[in-house]
Amino acid sequence: MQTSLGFRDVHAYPPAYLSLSLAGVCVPVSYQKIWEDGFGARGWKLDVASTDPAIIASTRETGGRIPTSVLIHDLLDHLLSGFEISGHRAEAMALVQLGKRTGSDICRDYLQMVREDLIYGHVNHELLSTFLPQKLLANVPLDKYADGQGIIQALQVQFDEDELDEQLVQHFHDLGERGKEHAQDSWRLLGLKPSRCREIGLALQRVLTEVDQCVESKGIEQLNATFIINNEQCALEICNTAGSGLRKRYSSRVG
Amino acid sequence: MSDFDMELDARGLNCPLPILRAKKSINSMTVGQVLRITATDPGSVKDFEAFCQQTGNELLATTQEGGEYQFNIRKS
Repeated sequence: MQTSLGFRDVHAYPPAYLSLSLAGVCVPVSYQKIWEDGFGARGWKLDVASTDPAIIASTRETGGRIPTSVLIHDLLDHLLSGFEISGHRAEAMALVQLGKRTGSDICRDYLQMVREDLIYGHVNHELLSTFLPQKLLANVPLDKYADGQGIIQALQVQFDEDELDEQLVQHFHDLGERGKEHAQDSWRLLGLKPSRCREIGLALQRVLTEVDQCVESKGIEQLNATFIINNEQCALEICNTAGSGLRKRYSSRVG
Repeated sequence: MSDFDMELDARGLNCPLPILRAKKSINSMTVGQVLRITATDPGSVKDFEAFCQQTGNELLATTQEGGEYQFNIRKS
């Protein structure tokens, strides 16, 4: 398994996934009433993530503590911030962006990943032995504990449950910090102001909410569309509206 | 004796997070074991039906009481 540091160059994506135009940053997305992806959920995915088995489709629904949906998180905090769309390392960095953008406490998200994934020795896109910091692995004989579950068992001998949770959550915080500068640089490279991230997120959410309500109520099976994002306005342009009853373009002002 | 082997509290989570977390839980279970999920998102009813249809896991029961939904899913 190849180790990924979770970073992507936002200028290196093919136009089918991310491009720049005079109108702003263009990000193609797809909608399906039921995705045949092992989840079966209704909703939207970024085209860059449409074949990623870890990515579930998202509707307009927002979180209890977060005013934007999972799709907007994937778009702003992963793709435009220059991080992989999936993987624990990328998620650590993207969650810092989410926290900055929405003011939400990301500690519980880190703890959830610790308790649902790491504690079973599971890390997406890399081995636990490359994911964990050297200070945690220092007393784990890696020749004896080759796999993730073995490493966790060895750590459970050294630390009690709370201590191990704390160490692993701290590692997520450390990883998250490493992505801050890259995220800001990525936004600027795309012509977007990092200081506008909250307002851009809310504008995108307003657009998504309107379009998603329409496609759900009309029972539309499948759609392709493109988000167009700049510092003043966010829009979703529908690729083929014939027979759908949808408008060609939905937009919302930023701020 | 309870009629499930593992329990997932998905209350307060909205689509698609209950499905995402249920899939993770089921992955850690053995065939034949039952996962009970408690959710508050009304959309989760449709979501879990589609999830089970697509994954082949068996939706044993869906109940609703006081704004909470409970799903029992047997891993296939």
